[in-house]
Amino acid sequence: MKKLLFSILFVLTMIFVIGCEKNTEENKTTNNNKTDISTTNNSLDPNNIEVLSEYQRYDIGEKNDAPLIGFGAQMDTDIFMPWNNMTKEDEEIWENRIKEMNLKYTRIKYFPEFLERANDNDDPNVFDYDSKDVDFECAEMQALYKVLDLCEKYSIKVDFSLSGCYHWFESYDGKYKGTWLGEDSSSVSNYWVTGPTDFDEYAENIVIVTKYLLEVKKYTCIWGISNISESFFNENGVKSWDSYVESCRIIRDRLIKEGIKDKILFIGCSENGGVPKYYKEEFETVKDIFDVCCTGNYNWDYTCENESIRNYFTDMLDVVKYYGKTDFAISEFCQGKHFTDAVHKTDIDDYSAGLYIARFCIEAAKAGVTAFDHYILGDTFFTNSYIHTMGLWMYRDSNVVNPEYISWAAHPEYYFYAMVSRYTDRGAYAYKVNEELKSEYDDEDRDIAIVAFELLDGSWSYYIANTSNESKKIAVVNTLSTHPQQMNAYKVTESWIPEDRACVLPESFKVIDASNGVAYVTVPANGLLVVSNKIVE
Amino acid sequence: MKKVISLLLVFILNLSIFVLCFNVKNVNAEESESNENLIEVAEVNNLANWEYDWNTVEIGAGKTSFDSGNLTMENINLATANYALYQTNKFNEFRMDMYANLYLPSPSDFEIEGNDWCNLYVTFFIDFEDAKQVENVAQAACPWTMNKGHFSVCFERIGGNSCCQLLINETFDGAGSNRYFLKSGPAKTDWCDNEYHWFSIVTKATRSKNPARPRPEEEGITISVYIDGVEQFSYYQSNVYYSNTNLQEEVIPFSTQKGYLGLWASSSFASNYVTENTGVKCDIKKLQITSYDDLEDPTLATPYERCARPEVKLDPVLNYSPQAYYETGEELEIKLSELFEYDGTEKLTYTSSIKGEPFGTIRNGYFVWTPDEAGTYTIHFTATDGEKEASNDVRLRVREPEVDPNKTTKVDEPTTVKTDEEPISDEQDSSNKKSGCKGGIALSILSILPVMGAVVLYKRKERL
Repeated sequence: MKKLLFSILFVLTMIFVIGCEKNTEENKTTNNNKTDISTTNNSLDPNNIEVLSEYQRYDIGEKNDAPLIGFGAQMDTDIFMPWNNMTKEDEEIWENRIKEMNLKYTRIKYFPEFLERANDNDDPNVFDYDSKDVDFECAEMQALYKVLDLCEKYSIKVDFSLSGCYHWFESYDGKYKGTWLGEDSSSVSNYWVTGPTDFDEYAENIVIVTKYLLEVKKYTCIWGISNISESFFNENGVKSWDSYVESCRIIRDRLIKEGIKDKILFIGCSENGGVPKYYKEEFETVKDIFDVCCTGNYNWDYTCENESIRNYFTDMLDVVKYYGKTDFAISEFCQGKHFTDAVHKTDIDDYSAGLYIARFCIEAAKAGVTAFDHYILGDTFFTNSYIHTMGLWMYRDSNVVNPEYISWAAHPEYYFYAMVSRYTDRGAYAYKVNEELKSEYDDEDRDIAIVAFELLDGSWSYYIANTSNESKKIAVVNTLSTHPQQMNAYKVTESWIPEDRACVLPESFKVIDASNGVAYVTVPANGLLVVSNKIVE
Repeated sequence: MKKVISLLLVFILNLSIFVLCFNVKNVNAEESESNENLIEVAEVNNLANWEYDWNTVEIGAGKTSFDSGNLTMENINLATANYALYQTNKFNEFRMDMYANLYLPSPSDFEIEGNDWCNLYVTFFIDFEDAKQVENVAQAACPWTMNKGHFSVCFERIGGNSCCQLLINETFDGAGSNRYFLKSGPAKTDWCDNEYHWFSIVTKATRSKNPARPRPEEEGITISVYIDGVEQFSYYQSNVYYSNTNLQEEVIPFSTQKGYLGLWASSSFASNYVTENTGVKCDIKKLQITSYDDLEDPTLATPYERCARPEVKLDPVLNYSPQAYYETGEELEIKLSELFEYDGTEKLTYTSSIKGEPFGTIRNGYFVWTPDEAGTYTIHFTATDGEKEASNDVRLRVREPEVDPNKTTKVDEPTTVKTDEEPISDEQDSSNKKSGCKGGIALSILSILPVMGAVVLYKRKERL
């Protein structure tokens, strides 16, 4: 009898010890963001999976054709121009954020006047590198190299973007003012950029500088170049698509002639695509010029339905497929309403702007967009004259604007967009996620935007945004053989936003067991839920 | 005797100097005082300390406020913007009298480099349907931002000169934002001496033809600017205007179009220079607007009175409907602004309690709480703007989750990943935290059950 009692006590003690250890391990794992990402090897039969009745079922569906190039934000040379007074500390802050956000894509504005202060010579076919008006080491070019160095370091793919002739250009060394290549200001609207007067010289400039960056500076981060159409005006100050197309064709021919076309892509322009029907018509004229379809988007604000974003991008991606292209980039976007002027918005610090950005990215990625360039990365002092407050974080003086804020404090968009970019990666495939409708009269939940990504390392990230005032219980069913076992849950809600607007990101608050193919989650009201087993160092 | 005479002379000389100085001082004081009263502004007509007549927008560190009792614009630099739009009345013919210290030095008095200009724009005939839309303010008050401000008088300090300029903003066709100077040059009065001056703008319709450019049915407007009663310039603008942008004649609809008046201050100080280290600011002590519209005799015109002070309302939203139920273990959030109706401008302070005891956490304007026990909770919320107060009792139903689908382990409430700043420390309900050991105990108790069952069976067998 004594033996028996001793045996029972021993067994109980062992069970207790094992129980404690197991649970402590779980906590440790969660806190370190090191969830086990091991996957099962067998696909599950979706018909054999029943989800709990109080959860709305969503099934991981069709995989997109093209992998993600990346989420990113525009980094212009102005960031590192002396007028922004970036200290070493400031630069570290920016770099740390780029790293934490896992940014993978950007567009950089480039103007011909940066390199070629005045025409090198009268022959657009022969570039005079030794011209006194050509300067590869000027402040403007140094700022460009600095941005590109960052891109190189963090594998950020670059859309090197020729942005027209810089009408207001004043070289930092004070030697040159205005544009030699642009339209005379009296013949066009007094606009900050103008179209080139000589397309051959224009092409010579962009091709020579790109060649220099690729072959001399050895940058591998340049994914492609683009030619922004915003500047193209004819003599009546009216935008001319035909002139723009002609200019692009000359650039493409010159890229081929210089032998660098096979090293980079020609990316489309951000100034079309407001309406898919017209986009299709316009693209017909450039289908043999551009390798990458592209648009810019300031169409909506927080009041926009998910369905509108989804339908728009679905139609746009149909155009992309129609022309046999693979990638579709959004070359500039942010919450697109409520501007007080061209570069300031009344809602930049509204939480709703952030939630909108999450919904926008979810719907666009689900439709097949592969590259995202948020305009802009951080509020920046542009052209030594004014600040663009369209960034993911405020300017250095945010602590003067509001003493409760830190310097370089975050706009709400940061918290959402950083979560989107942090738990995805280049090469990830987006999957459609389909809501189960119980009958033909059943309607989808219009408050929910959802997408799933399968990353190259085998991990998964689910993004679910909820615009309703009530939390939603959702079961995400993943029957693929690579479905995750355990996932971390992260959420962004308005109450969570740090009062000092520090650029921090939420840590996992829960571990979700998805081993049977189902991840049961509660999506917070008016919030974003990210469920991921990606290991973030 | 000579000594006495010398002393007497010295005394008389000193006395004369004293009297002279005293008189001069008094004259200055009188001048200063009379300057303030140069134009009479009754308190009821003074719009400069009545925030309710204005719609303001600040960009960056810009600060436009009425905190000091005056309309002040501070932190004027390249990275900021200060806009104020008079939003109560629209007018064509008018007189604006502004008693202000426009301290807009250029170059800087503190040897700050790179400050080439400082200015205050007064823009009028601003063609907006509604000046109360905050998104319109900057477009309206800043004539080159968008296309709604028609004329601007710019008090600008350039290169040590106090200038006074008149600009026409080519916006009549709604397609441009170009500005052209109609009048420019140094002012006759140096207004940038860190003293208060009277700045007056008078616009009067002129229905006679312009003899220089006679046209049928032509009419125009004369814009005059005064500083301390001294006319700086007077400019006649015909309603037939030759557009430099469109290279054609266009008609300015003076007779029908009425507009608002806007203020915009800017400077070329770098972004790190604010009022604290430059002193630069516009301090408007008095501002009066008199409209002459629809009056045969302009002498009968009376200045606009201040608008009525809006009644601020702070009431509970009695039909607020929370979620049907909440679940234990799930953090819930309630946006407190949805519990109260408030149309004031102050930031509200909230509390939450049950039976007088603080309950849950207030964070970023949200009530945040993770229930750990099922039941019905009636929570007493209060809100105050410092003057008014309101309360709202909200009943929340909490239930246990029907099942625990994830078999998950609840860890700490959301915390933050450190990037480049210190993470915030969220106030959290410590009762919600569960240690791994507690979980282990639970698991081990569950694990005991089959063993206990085995023991019972064994005992029964033994008895048998």
